[in-house]
Amino acid sequence: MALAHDLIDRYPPNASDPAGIPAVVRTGVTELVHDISDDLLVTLAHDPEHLRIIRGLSLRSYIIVPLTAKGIVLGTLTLVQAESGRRYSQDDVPFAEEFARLAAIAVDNARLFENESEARARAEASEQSFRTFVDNLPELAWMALPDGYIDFYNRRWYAFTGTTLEEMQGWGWEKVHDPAYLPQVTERWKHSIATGEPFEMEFPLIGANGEPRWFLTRVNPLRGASGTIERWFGTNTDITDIRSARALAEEMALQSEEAAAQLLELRAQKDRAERRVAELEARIKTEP
Amino acid sequence: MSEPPNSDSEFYQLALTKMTRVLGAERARRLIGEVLADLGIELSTADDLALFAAALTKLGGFEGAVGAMLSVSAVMKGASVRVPSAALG
Repeated sequence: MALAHDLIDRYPPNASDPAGIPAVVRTGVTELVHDISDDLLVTLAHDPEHLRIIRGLSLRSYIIVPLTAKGIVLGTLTLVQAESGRRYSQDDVPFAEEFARLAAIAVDNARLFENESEARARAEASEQSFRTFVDNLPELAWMALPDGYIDFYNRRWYAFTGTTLEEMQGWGWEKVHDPAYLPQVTERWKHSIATGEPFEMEFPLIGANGEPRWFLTRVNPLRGASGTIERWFGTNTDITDIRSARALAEEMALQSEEAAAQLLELRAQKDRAERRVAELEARIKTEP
Repeated sequence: MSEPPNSDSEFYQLALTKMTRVLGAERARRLIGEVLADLGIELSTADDLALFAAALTKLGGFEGAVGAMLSVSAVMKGASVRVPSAALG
């Protein structure tokens, strides 16, 4: 066996060889050599040293059968007779081909399993790296299964709400919602799950300190190659200060209008008073 | 949380309304209770409102901005004095 490996290392098969393994891989047809002649060894040898070695193996007969799965030749099964003196015949071919067929299925399954394992490992690594990214977002973020069951929240979510995954997973998030807004949020979220439409809404969430803060919540479906929703990805952006600034600007505008109206009224009162004073002064001057 | 004394007065309601619009109901109620307790006053008059507004202004941020607005409201409602927020120490 060691000699055979050494031979292959030193004299790798040439794809254009007229017989042997390369020919069977090329054609996909079993090759039976009942009696290995010295002429054949001369034909197959790459150089005199090679010929010397293969002559030393005392090869008598061989069958090379293609390992074929789903129409693709994966390799070959080579059966060789040497010291025993026995020779293969056409009667041995069906057994060898059946054996090769079963071996090819096993090899193909192993390749499929390996490919699937690699794909799964790549998908898990990709998911892990995405979760690491999401975990470090400055916003509150989370991921849900296609049916809306939330199975991941990032660190900012837990920091703000003071909750745990056990409390929040699935539909546990309802606990950190203001009951006044919850029915509308739930209705619209269920609508998105049913239709696949993105979700966008502003609503308050209750913080760990018991105080609500307003968030702009956006949820988008993450679709697979076939277009089906594989996950939902949601973010909650704190807009409390933006809302406060907006409300403050509106209040200031309102108050400015009130102040302007009050100033106008005061000026009118002042004008009326000045006119009255002028009238009185004029009357005093004209009266004897 | 129980309502502070005199919470149905015109000045209390004015402060609560403006603070709620900008800060939200929870924050407004908590803050108004804390500031009035600190000052030891009720919002019964325009002068009370001016004092309250000055204390709020001192907090800075959105609270301070609402305080500045309320100090103008206090004058418009007839406060006899304008209380500079710095005067509250």
